[in-house]
Amino acid sequence: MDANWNLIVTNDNVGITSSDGNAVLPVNAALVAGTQGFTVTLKSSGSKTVTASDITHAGIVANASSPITVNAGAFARLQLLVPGETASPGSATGKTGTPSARTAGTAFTLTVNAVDTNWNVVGSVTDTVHLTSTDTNAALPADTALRAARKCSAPH
Amino acid sequence: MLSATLKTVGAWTLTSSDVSDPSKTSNASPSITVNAGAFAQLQVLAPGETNAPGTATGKTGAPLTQAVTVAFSVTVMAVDANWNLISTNDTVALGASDTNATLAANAALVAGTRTFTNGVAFKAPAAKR
Repeated sequence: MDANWNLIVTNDNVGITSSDGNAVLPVNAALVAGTQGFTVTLKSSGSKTVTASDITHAGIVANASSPITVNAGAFARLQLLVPGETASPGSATGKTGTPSARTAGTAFTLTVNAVDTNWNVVGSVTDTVHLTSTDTNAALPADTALRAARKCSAPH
Repeated sequence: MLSATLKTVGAWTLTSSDVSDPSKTSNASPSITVNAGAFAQLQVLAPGETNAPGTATGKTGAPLTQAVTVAFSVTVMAVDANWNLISTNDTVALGASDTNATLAANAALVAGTRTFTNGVAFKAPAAKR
């Protein structure tokens, strides 16, 4: 584009980035007669942007999209977070961190989220969840309904 | 908030599953390391008994019948409130409800445990401990 947003015929190479660090982005590609279509997959719910940059001529001003609202997909699975772990929606594993060591006999808090295939919380789910442990002596909470618009926990 | 209490020393996982819709994929935690709590009590294991940390009683099995005047071994362990072994070298003493029993002398635990080999011999025929 020129300074007044008129199409310029060029074959400069263009790169695509996103404020969603988990987005699936296309490889750089050359414009054809000044234009090119790209496919982007945003993975994290929230407000995200996509930016195009000129790889061939770094002096050309990059352009970011207006914020794009990304909604969670369909409820697909549960996510269990224990102390030391933090949810990371849109990432491959859905979480960061590793479980911190616990002391036998000392209670700790855990969180269960209803999430889509990309680990985004699906806030409308009120399904009942059940917990088990490989420690057959563990004291575990009774089956509990997830809270709508949030995650799990005991009923209100 | 949901709360869980692991009671046994080791590495354990937790798993959440959807009771309302079993088609939803359950999720297991990575291994969670569980360390022993504070030294809280001693545990005596007689022949026939086996330590079972994390359980309500801390042991399985029942004491085998012993013959009067025949010495047998007992093991003493330092444990936390959930019967997990604690490494300590405290000195322990044996006692018996048979006031005429022959008992081993006081001895220090080694890394939280001590087996008193042939350390007890009852003198009176009855159920003792």
